[in-house]
Amino acid sequence: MSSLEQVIESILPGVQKPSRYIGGESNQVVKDPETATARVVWSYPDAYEIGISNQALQILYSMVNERTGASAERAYCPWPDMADAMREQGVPLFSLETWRPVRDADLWGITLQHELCYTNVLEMLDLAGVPLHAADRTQDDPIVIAGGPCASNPEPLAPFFDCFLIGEGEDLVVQVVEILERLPDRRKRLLALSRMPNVYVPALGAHLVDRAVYDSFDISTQPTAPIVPYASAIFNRASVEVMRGCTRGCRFCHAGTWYRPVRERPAEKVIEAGLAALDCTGYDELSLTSLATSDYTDVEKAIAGIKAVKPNLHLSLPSNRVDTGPVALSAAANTRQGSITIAPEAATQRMRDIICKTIDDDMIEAAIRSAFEAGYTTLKTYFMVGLPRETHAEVQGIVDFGIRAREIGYEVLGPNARFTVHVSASNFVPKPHTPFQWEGMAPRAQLKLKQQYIRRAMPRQNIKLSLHDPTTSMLEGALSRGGRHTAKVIERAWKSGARFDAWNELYDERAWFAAFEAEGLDLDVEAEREFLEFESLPWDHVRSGLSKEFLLDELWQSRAEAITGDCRWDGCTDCGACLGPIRTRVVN
Amino acid sequence: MTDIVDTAEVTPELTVEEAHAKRIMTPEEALAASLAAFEHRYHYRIMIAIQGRVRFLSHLETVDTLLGALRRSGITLALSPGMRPKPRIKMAMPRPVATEAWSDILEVELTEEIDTDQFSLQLSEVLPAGLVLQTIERLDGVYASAASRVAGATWRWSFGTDVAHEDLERAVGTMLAADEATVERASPGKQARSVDVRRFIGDMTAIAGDEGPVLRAFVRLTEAGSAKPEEVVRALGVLAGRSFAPLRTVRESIAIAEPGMGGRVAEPELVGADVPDGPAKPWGAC
Repeated sequence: MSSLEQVIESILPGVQKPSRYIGGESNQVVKDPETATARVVWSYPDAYEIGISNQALQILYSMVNERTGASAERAYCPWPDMADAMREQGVPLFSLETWRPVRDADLWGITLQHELCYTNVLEMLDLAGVPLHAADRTQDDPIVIAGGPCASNPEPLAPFFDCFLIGEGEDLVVQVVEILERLPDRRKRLLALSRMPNVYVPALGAHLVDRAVYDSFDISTQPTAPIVPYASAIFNRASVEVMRGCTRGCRFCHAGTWYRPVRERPAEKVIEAGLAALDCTGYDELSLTSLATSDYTDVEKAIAGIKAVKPNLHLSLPSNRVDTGPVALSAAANTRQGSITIAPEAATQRMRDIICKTIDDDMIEAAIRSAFEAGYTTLKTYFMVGLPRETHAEVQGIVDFGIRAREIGYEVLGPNARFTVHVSASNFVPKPHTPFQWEGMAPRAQLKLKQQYIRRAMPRQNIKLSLHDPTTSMLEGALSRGGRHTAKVIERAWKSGARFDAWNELYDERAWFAAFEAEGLDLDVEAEREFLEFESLPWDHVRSGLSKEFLLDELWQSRAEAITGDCRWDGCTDCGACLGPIRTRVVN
Repeated sequence: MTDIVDTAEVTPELTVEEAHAKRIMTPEEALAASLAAFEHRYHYRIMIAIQGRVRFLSHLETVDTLLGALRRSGITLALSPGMRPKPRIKMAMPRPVATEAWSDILEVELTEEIDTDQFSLQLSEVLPAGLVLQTIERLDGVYASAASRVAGATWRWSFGTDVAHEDLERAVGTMLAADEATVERASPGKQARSVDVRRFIGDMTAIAGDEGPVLRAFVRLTEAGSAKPEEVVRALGVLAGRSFAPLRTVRESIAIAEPGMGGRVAEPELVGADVPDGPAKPWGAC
């Protein structure tokens, strides 16, 4: 045992959940460092239980380990108690597989899934002993690369990364590993990376970069041996990605624009991958994942094929459309019916037209009724407040919805039945590359007032209300559309102690306010800022594939309270995503 | 007539017809239903060593990891009845985080009989590193879980060369001669309370070793509770007027009160006994 391992072992008994740091889970891959052609470390900048549940990182992990001679390892952000102990004992950030320092890797890839983990990126860099700024790194440091949906606006973190992989990483990471294997010199590696059309190197200035689209999704088989996390993970189930992309066109949704065009995996491959994943993980639940699984053409065939082999399996279909069909599908897929989730997002028809949610009240009511009739006793519903052009009618609509859903519950299940309607309302946060990228957030005080009203007006019996705290939403809004100047704010906030900002118990609001102020900015002003339609945007050099004209057109459509059809059913909307060989799978 | 098993309302005066009319079982029917329910249930006891980094798993995480391995092994676990069936699996005596175990007990219920060698082969192939299968034994007769019959455990603490064997031996002598040895137990969200460690200690001995002395003790689990392994070492330190910091803590074995002993267990005598230097050989080892 090395001295580093001895020190790690000595500090683990004194920290919360030491299993976060030990590795050794089933299906973990440990390659011989002597024979591995390169060493790659993948990181999710949050706690182990969040990071290990991320499907994208699991895919990239097996891609590198199975398809290349390099070894892929993992590292997550140590919880503050562990981070403090590591600093005290001089332990650098280490990978779970080998307990070797992350800074000794050739490539360190960090996925950016949401804005509230940005300070954790700096925390991890610092713990690893890697200079915070890419400009300060030397030959001995790994190439630090970012990916994930938040890389769609790389500027707020630009100084801290050597490069950003823009778009879907499956093919890209194999190409990146080839560069690492071929070129030992860090500078030459960076130069080679900068020549890739989907890699953004901030040191070269805001150069144009295209989003990568994985063109083999429909013919590929998903990796079937995911790492089985210890019990503390937030998702303990096997999953198969059945479809990528969504063309429903919700105007607030980043994933809906970022992952176009729609690609589907054939049912045979889904069944094969699902059954293999169950066998090699030991899970008793399988999730068929996508942005809208009920839109997957082969969903019934896939369910039937899996159920034919494992009739008692709990099969979950997340992200369903509000419709009676999906509710019936979910009921057929589940053997342990408990709860079902629908996401109307807005409670009035006017607002649903503004955000392009192509459902109406009758469809929602029918879905609720069929959910209760199918035996579900918990109905979870999601809404947003603070959407553009929101009036009191929309806020009142959320309250009315809760009451109406409860009435339907009484009608179907009886007046004394035990059931719960969960009404969750989050705050609208504008995201880059969406039609609402030009819109500002609602003011903090307004959000609080609206939430206060909902809290007071919503009845308690059979209804459970949860409202997302506007405090962290405002920060998310300020960071999501930030420019390079935002990097200084992030660094200052981290230096003042901000980390794990998505965790309410650790969120340090004062550190953030002070950091914005010290850089001559105001957090709320940044979040509420409306961009002019022809103003240059900080992420303009990142080309998602969707044309700016399409996004602007959608913005104007929203202002006209008009919806746009889904191109899979209603004809092409000329968004630009299908320019090239990969096209949305159209449903006849 | 098999959906209700409560026989509490059955009185000697109640005829079979009357009982059926009230939708309750007669005692004979209840017994038959109960026997039928267990006719195809097979209990197995699995002895597992927990070593290396997996010792940092919590009890719940250990059980969950073992459950995943059992599922991957291809055997069919029996499930509890009800809307949300759970696999019938029990692990005796939760193990404190960071302590090793040489011989922990996991009991499972299967829906079909399986040869223990075949079962061992299938399970040993899928266990994660650090969880080492030692034996699997079929439990015949009336089943009473080991978890419900734990009487105590033999613990072992290894110290570095900074602790002299004589000092440890003296502290052990003081402990065994003492009427009580009290330490504070602090639990999150609860008020600290005093625990008399001495009442839970059976035999205790200090052994000299090249790499430092070793302390072994049998710690009882009683209706009044038990002492945690770190509390035993702390209490020893209090009595000796110095602190002892073990490099390694191991649960060597768990003592189970076997049926027919009135719920009591013959406590192991550690003084002068052979000292094991590690867990039993793993299953399949020559």
